[in-house]
Amino acid sequence: MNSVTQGRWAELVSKGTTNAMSGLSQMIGQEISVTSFTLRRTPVASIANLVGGPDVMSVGIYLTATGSAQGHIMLVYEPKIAAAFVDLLMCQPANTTTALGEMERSALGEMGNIIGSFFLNALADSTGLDFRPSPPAVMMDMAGALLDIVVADILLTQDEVFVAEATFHAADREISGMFFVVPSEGLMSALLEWGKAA
Amino acid sequence: MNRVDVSDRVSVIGLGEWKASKDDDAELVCLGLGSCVALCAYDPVARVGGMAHMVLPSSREGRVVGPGAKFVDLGVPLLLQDMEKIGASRSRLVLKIAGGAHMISAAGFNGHLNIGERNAASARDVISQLGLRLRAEDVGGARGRTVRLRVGTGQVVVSTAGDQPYAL
Repeated sequence: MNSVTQGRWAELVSKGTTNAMSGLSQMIGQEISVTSFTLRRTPVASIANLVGGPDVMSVGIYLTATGSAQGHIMLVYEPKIAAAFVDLLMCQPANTTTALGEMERSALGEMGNIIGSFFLNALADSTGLDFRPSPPAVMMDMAGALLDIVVADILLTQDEVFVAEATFHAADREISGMFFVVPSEGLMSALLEWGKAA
Repeated sequence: MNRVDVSDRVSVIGLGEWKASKDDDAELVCLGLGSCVALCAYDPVARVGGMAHMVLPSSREGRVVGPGAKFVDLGVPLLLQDMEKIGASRSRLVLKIAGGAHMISAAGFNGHLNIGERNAASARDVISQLGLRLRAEDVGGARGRTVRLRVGTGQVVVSTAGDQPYAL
């Protein structure tokens, strides 16, 4: 990826993340803002270290993007952060959720739906391309095992990945988490073409 | 940031990496395997152990860049060659594989990528093509695994989230 494409990609991911938070705000009926956003390029082999190490228990929310091009979206959180999201989504006081049962996982899946759809809509609006999210899968296991879903596909063609880390602020709490957005080569090519035309 | 707490006798084998050792006190570890497959090899006479952390079934499917053992068909021979260099004999090797899970059990992802199953199948094929026999395997399912090989004894221990570790 050249620097022009990288710049465009950073711009798109930032726009997508802001739009995703706007979707989340609508879902829960309270303002959620992105207070910090960083996008970094990381070797695929070490991405699990960003979430504490490959054997650290984590919650993953995973979607694929199809349409004009393919890609992966994965949100990975420590269980306590995922529980904080559940409290936010279910309009409960902080620290109410202590375990992730069926209802809590369903709430996280819905959050994945909203984040995925709004993120991809922002990409589609900016580029004129067509993206559709898959239904979300919510899993809890070792971070390395969850990330293998994405890693295996990326390592076929590339050895680095873009990882976005966003801190979200709701009225009474602040939550931060990793947001892995993995474009396929096809998407990057489409983006390069879009960048040339823009 | 890496919070994995390891002593200098514990070698964490990362994605696409492999290592051979004849240090009796060493432990080789693959942490948090999902669809990846770990090959554990041990020569009980030379007391040489080795482990490879492989991500994809075949180098014919992707670009051969980055860590050498990324592909099963390249990783298995790389590990065995390094073990031979420090005294192991192929004919004595005890080979075990673990990993190859299908992490997404949600509806709509049943056939998704299916990398885990293909990694395990590729490992069996490559081992068989080399004229070797697999002694044991713990593959498939929908759970992550951490795999440890103790070089001094050849013992392979597998752990999954929330369960007691068990010897393979």
